[in-house]
Amino acid sequence: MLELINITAGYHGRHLLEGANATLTKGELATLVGANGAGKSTLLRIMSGDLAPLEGEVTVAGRPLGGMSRRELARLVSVVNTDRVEADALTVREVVEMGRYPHTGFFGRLGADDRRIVDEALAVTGTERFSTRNVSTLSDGERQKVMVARALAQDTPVVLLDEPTAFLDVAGRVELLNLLRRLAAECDKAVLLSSHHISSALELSDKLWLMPGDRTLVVDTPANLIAAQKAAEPANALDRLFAGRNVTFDPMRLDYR
Amino acid sequence: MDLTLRNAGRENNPGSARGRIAIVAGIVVSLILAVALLLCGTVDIAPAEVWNALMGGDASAVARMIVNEVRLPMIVTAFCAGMGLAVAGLLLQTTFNNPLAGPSILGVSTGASLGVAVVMLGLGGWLGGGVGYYAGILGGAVAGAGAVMLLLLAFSMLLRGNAMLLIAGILIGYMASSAISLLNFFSTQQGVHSYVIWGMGSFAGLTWERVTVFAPLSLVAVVLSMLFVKPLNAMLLGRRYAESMGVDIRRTRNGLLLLSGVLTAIVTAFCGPIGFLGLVMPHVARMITGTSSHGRLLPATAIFGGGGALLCAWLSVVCGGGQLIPVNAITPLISIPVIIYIIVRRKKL
Repeated sequence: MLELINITAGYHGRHLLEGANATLTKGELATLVGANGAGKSTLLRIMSGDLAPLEGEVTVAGRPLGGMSRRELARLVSVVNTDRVEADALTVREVVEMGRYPHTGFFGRLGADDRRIVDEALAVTGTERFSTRNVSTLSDGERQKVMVARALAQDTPVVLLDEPTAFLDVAGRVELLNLLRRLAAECDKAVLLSSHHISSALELSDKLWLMPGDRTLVVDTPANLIAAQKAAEPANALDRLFAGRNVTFDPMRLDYR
Repeated sequence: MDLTLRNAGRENNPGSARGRIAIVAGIVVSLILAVALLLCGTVDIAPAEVWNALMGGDASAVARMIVNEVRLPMIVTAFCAGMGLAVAGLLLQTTFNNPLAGPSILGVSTGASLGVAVVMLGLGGWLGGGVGYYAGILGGAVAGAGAVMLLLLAFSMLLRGNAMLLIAGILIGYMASSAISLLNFFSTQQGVHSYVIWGMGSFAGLTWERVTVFAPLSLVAVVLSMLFVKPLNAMLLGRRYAESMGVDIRRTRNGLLLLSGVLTAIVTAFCGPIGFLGLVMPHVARMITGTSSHGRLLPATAIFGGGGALLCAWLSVVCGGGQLIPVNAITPLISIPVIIYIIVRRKKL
């Protein structure tokens, strides 16, 4: 569904990725993991068309991002980023309704279908019960869920989320990951999120995208990654992820210690 | 999405009812203020005579002249000016995502004034009188406001943070003011006199001939701004979210800045620089409607902007004891307390 072709990313003089290739397929939940500063957000911005890669190309549904209008792209890729939304006197429902933006006409009037999709997005994210409250009155975690609901209302085949679980408690994190997993499996969407929680990523994702900080991108299934680490393969990605830091991967706990 | 769910099937949220009530209330208050402005003035005219003068009944020639040629055009001018400035302020606040943006504080009004000064003091004699002169003033105002808009656009891309842009805008305003002072210094007595009168800012003194140009122009610009309701709402979520939902941010922002520049220029060309209404009336509308959603907020801002200007005009008439108080002496008195309240409540920009 979404393909990275020979992507070199970063800033001139400091490359974060060189010649990276990867594919995000329909029905798949993938988690992007990497140390701080490895370039997770940069890669997500490139995939959402917010930033141009230094070299290479991103295609969605076989079409290069560069040749698409904003509206076309918005019908294919929805985004949850880390920007703090101030929008003081908008209700939760109004923010979620905004997800219908690329599907509605000039004045943004919602049709019956649009309203049904918004209702669903509110319900599955558990934001329905405070849908009439102003966004400014919400906690960070609630606000995060509202932005996820908004992305769901956008109803795109590709969903990209930059640390969507950052402000959530454990319950909220597991709920959201399960929701994204169901969304990928049942609605046949391609979902990629970035996260610092390696253990839930290994347990719940179909694929891991690892950025070990050596300008490579390793994409594999959790099973293969764990097997390679257990077999003590030299340069396996899980060991490389935090190489040089004072932690080692523990395959029993599926986490670093 | 196929996930099976309860369907709430809610048609409307309660907020839109409040928005409609607020707009109707704004219209009613504006009408009351308009009637008050018809009834009182620097000359006492009995209500019955005002009525007769309006309806072409039995009234003295003086009363007929005052009601039809002075008070009525002033009411229309004040309402349109307040509406135009408030809408310009709202567009600026959303575009720059800055609650303290407004045409006067960001120097747009002063830029328009500078354009007018160049035309009045520099080219006044050359343009002659009549239509060409007023077209020249309007053109000067649009050019001046447009130049400030370009500067603000450049600064908004260079500077981080809302306070920095405000400071840049205030400084641009001072520069334009000093250019105006220099122009005044090197101009003829005659030109300076007419510029100073204009520069005080006033809703009064426009003949019907000019009101019939000013009112449609400002109405058209306000109606045009309604075309931006959808992208304006998306911009409330910030640039990146707006773009991810399909907003062409550069085109939208340029269109919005152009429109608010033109609105400010139109009002400034006809009424002179009017301070603070453009900054404060969007906030009044937001507080009363309780929403930031532009579908309701934008029309409410237009109505409350017009009503606010009528209130200022009324105060300038009734508090003057037979004379007209300059309207720019009143707008800060009623606006700045509201602005300070907003700053204190938000505790940040």
